[in-house]
Amino acid sequence: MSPKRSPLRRLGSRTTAIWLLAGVAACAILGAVVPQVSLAGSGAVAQWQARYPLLSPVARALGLFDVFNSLPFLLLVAWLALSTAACAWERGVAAFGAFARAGSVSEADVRRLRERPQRVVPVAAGREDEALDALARSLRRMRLSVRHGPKLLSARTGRFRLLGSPLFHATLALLFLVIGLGRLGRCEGVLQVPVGSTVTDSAESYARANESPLCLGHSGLGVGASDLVFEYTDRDGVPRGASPVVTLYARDGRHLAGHHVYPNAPLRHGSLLVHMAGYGLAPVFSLESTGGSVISTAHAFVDFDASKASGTTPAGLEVTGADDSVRHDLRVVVPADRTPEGVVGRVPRDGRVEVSVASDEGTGPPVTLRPGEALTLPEGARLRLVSIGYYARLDVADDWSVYPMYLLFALAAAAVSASLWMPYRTVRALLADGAGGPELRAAVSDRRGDPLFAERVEAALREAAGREPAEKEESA
Amino acid sequence: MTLEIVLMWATVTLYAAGSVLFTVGFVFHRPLMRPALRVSLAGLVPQTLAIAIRWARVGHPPMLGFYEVVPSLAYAAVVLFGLIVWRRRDLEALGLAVMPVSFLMIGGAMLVAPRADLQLTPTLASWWLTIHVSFAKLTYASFLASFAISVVYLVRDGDRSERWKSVLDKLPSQAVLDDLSFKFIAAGFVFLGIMIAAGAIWANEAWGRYWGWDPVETWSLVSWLVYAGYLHLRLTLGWRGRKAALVAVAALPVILFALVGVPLAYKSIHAAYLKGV
Repeated sequence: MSPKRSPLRRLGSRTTAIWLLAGVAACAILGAVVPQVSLAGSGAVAQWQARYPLLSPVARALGLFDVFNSLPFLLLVAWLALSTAACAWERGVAAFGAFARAGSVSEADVRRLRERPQRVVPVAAGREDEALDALARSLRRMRLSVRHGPKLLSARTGRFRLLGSPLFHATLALLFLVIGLGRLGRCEGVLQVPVGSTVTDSAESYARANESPLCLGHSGLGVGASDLVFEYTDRDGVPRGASPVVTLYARDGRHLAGHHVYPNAPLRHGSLLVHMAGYGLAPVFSLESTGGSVISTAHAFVDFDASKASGTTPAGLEVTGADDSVRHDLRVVVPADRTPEGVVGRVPRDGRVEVSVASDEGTGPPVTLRPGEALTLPEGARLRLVSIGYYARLDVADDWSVYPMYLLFALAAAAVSASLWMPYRTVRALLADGAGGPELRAAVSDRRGDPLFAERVEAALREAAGREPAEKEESA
Repeated sequence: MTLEIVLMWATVTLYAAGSVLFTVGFVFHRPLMRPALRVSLAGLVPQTLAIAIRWARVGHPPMLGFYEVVPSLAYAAVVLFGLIVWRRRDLEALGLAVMPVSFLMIGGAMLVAPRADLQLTPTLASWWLTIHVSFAKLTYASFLASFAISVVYLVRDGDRSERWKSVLDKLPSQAVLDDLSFKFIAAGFVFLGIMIAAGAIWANEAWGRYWGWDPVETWSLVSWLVYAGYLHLRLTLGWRGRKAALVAVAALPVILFALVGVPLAYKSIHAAYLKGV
């Protein structure tokens, strides 16, 4: 081993790969056993800590409550990715070398066959002239490509089979890269779009956004929601639950794409994917000056929640007063209708909204408003409830890596299948003079060491040599 | 009791009888392997009918709830066992491992699982469900076949006193068993990879994210890593024979737990497929 190649070999070492696989598996098991903040929430972590007070300091110190985002885990995965890439490189170099040499028989190969054959089968008297022809016929029946002269035979399977394993490892290494870069560049979040209106896909529109470090920014497209159907049935007659029509508009207002969106039917545009995550109520308020002119309008986004007495989760709303410097924080509740089955996910029949105004002194008493009614804010402006509508909660993700990843999945599946199920096989045979007369000296190779292949070649050798199939004692 | 339940109990009975006959034939050197095989495979008839009746009634293949999923995994394993024996009659002794596991799975499901008809939710109503679950069944059946072959390999390997020589001599050579075990693991490894990839694509279609470290996802990945470890040990470090068989036997509980145990033990978005909620 040359000193230059040593680090690459060490990185691509089979033993290292085993330990890395075991390490990633161990981390994954820990992440499944110990509750994760990012998945189960801080409440579940606190419960676990209370239940296991002795283990919890250790778990916290080792970062076990967020294993999948912890530096050791990310480093381990990066190491595995590098190891896979190094392995792919080594296998690739070896496979391309073997690819170029496939089918040829060197002087050294002939010498090995002559001096150290794997199998020796004496040829029956009178079979010398046809032994190699007969062997070639048998091997062709085994779908091997055969070349032979008067004394030497070389057979092999398709040489592209050599590339399965390196291609699989290279695809895995690329998958690591694509997934890693995709995670770093992913922009996603929850958009709350009032039904009948359009919002811009930009950072300030998101109720909850998750922008990865390399996120290049949101698309700036218009995302519109209309025609919310509560019990939507698709073209195949399958009930799909609540579904709005979501439409994407270019910056110049051009229609880009749009259809009913529901689970398994997201709206796509390039790398942008829009999913239906749910819906809620969207009371519309207008802020009016003391003179009665409308200064601004705003939506509150209220979610249904069976655990709350009102049946909805209170929503916060900030409105700017007549004087831009005056802001009001409002707390909005829409008491929902209930039936014995639970909360009714619709605009309540009596359509009232409870609004509390928060100030430095605390939150004021709730004021009930019905559409058209208004309350006077402390600095004199009036807040009017215009209507109560719905909003669509949309998960928007912009991730260029998804489709390349699908392609790599397919490539990896094909490559690993070829690698495991279509091993490269060779047979070389030499008709040579032995001590007791002519004999077939052969070398058989199967990349996966399939004993059945060796048995079939052995049978073919014996048949070609005019020997009984049952004789086994002469195998070298 | 409905016809479907009667047929399922008939299946349990036949699988139990098959398991007993395989065991008695093996332990007491009785020529019972052939009847054991026939009785075991006969169990497929009532189970096929029961699956068909339920499928027609609920409108979807056996993919939802413990009562549908677990017996259908046993069904996949017995069908694969039948196919193996059809191609290689000398492997009928695999029933020693396949049938007791299948009997315990279907019997357990009949005793503990509620048999309610579960409906596909909007999220589950997708072609990806069929692809994902079909590959899960193929995965499980392949790994169980490998497990059974490895158990038989280890039994013969450990039979120093040649107590069971008369039965075990009917099997193919140890080298062939070793290779078959590898081939089933190779198949299961590919199927498991496709199942995980199909699940990731489906998750992206349904929820907008392809991977969320949900317990079922995590344990499926762990299973894949375990079998990747097996393949590495075998193909690059040359672990064959006894060592490879021990790894194959030790790996089965991991995939069983991932497919069946995790949705029951954890709160998971995947729980719907076993619990229906």
